[in-house]
Amino acid sequence: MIYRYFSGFTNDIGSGKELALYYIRENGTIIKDTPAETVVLSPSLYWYAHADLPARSVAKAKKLADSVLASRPSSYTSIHVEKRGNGFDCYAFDENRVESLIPDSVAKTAPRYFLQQFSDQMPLRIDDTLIADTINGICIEIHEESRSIPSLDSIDIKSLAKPFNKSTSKSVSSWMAALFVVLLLTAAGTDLALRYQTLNALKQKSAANDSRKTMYEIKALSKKYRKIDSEQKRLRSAIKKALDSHMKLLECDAKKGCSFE
Amino acid sequence: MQKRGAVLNRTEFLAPVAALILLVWAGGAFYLNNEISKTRKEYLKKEETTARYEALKALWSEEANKKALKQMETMLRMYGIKPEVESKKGKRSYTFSVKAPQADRVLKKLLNSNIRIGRFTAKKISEDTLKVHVEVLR
Repeated sequence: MIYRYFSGFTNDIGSGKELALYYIRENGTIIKDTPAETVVLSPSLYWYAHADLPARSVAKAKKLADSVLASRPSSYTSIHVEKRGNGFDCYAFDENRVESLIPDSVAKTAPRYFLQQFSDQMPLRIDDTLIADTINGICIEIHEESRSIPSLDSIDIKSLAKPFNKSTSKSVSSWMAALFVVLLLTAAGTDLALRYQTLNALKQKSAANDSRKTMYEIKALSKKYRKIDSEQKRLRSAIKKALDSHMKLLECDAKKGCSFE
Repeated sequence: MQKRGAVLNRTEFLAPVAALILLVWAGGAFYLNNEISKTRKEYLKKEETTARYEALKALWSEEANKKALKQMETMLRMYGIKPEVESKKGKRSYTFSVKAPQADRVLKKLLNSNIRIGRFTAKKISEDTLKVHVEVLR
């Protein structure tokens, strides 16, 4: 049985998508129009306990949560744990049962929450006869028609923790993030340091000059020697050519060239 | 819930931080690569110029010229030629006579050496004698 409550938002029915908040209960789903598709589980579908577990990480706490939730129904095999204050919020639920209650039209990726996760925003009106409130920090459903309280669709989802259907292992924990940043910084630092070292070595090598002459002097002397070299080569080839022609008198000058009889 | 929120914030902060590090890394690497390539080019050009200079210096420097003159004098002595030597303002003249059988070899060695010839005169004074005058610049 599905109840539908409109609260002013326009559904995107034309495009085939219905963005709504689905409040899943054991005996029916209540749909509230919201801008984002969200699934909220009624307390009748999960088992909850808050415990101070001797663990720092959520992964370790999840292993210990089984004993905290020992009195839960045997079909509640799926466990979700999240950190809250100094302790951990432990949830157990029957995943198959929940899956069967969620309407087929709801996207598999739609974020799913336990009502307990909204405990900070309680009390909330679920429908005309039902309200959600907390007793000793635990969210429960109460039949009450008279109280005027904010509706379920007014919840601030952005302020919430991760939905329980998004695996915590996929999220990056702070130490993982720090490790990643440190590794990235180390890699970047090492790479840049090595490049700088190469540059410095090249600069030092380039600055080292055995001849104790500046590049300007070297270039000037090279030009002078090149001029002498070409002049002498020209002269010698002219002399050799002249000597081969069995002359009587040969006169050669570096600047004027050769003349012979 | 607050702590969890803080974790989320840190996680959300990770992408821009990582992007910033990558940007700085890429920028730094690009700049250093450019500098390395520029310095390497300069270094190779400098090395090439220096090597060319050293090669030319070994042939035409004053020291190389002095050494070549000594070698030429030794060579002439080896062939039993005693040249008349005259020194003038940065120039040195060698005048000597050479017999026909030796002439080719002596002149070839003289021309293959790296003395800096300013003037060269060769005159046939008889059928088998050649009078050579070499003016060497210093």
